[in-house]
Amino acid sequence: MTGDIERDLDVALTSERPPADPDVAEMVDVARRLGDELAVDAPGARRERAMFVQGVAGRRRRRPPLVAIALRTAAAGVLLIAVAWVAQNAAPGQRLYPVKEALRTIGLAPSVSADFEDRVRAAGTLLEDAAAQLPFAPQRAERLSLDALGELARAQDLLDEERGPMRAQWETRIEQLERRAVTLLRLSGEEADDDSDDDSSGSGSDDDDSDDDSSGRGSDDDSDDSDDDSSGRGSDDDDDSDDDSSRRGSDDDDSDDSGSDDDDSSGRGSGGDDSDDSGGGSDDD
Amino acid sequence: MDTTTLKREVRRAAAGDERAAALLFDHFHPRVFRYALGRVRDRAAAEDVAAETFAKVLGELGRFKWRGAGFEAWLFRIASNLVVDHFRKTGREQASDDVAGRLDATEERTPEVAALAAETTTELSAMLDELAPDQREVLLLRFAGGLEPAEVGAVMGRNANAVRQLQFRALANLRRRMQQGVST
Repeated sequence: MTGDIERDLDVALTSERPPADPDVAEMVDVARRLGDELAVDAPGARRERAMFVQGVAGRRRRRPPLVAIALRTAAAGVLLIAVAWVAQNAAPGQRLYPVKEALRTIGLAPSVSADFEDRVRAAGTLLEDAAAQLPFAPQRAERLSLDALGELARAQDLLDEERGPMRAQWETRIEQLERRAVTLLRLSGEEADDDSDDDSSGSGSDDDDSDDDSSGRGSDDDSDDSDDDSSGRGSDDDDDSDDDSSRRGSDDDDSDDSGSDDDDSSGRGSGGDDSDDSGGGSDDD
Repeated sequence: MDTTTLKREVRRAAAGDERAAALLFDHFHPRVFRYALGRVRDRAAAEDVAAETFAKVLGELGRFKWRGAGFEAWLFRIASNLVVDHFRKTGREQASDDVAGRLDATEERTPEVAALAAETTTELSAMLDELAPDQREVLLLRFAGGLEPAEVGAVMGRNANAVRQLQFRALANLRRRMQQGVST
């Protein structure tokens, strides 16, 4: 504990008023004399001052501004996203494949099975669209089928990453969809040929050729039907291909009568169903 | 400079503000120099200690955190450590402390001690040298460095009350020696 006199002395040292205690007053006087003696002129120290001030300013220069930090962070982020994007399609053995695996580990990239399902689902949707477009826009159907094959190629790449029991099942699914895509490609090509043939001449002899084509298609469709059946989409495809072949049969019959494109379109409509039993049946026979 | 202003200037200097750095240097360099001169009793050495103190402050300013007694206590602790380093190199203070130790033991100034103490300094400074090291340190930090008792305590690792006691004893000793000096 500090005594009163020690505290009084401390207060008196900073006070303007002279202390009441003569002992304290004497010590205050000693302190003032000591203070005066110690208050020597300090050196200018201009060089030291300049060094200190420049050193402090150097600290500011060394520290990168916030904007630069933000820009660097943003650039790193963009680079990371770009690498992740490119790495999405990396196959095993490729340089970016470890990045893809790392992204999967931290949940930033889909798992192999999820990726595969996405690809196969996309391919299936594209093929359905292609089948729907085939009678009306064969060129679009062809493009959709090609896109579907692209998706299937990426799904095929994923097979290398699947070492489990799903591999065989995945292979089968890819195979089925590929066959269907190839069939649609061929049909769309033929359909496009038909259209151009009809457009260019409309003559009887051409119609005869198309007759042969349609009968050929009928038999092809039969084989496709069996494939499509195995893929689980048989009923739709059956209907489609049957309709296609039968319609073509009846169309050809129509074209025999008229030789016009308009008949083609009417034949694909409700009229096609009517001719299913007759024209389509005879073609297949 | 009040505490609020000092805090602001220290923060600015830490962020690289040249004006704040100049302000701190102008405010504290003379005080650090006087304190160092009071300790080392050599003008050139005191200038070196003051310059080294600010060089060290420059290097550590980014890591300085305002706590307890604040910037002044931190600054003078650096200066105090540099004085100790100086004496370690020159081996001088040991002799000075021996003188002070003999004085503390006898509380009387023998002619031999008085002659030794007055060799290079004025009378009052010589008397200061004769004090016990902690008493001398308190007086130098208080009256050359301009620190408050709490700040002196932070430099010396003692509380403010212990500093006031040391201050009282140191001034009482000086007064007695001055009276003895007048009477002899």
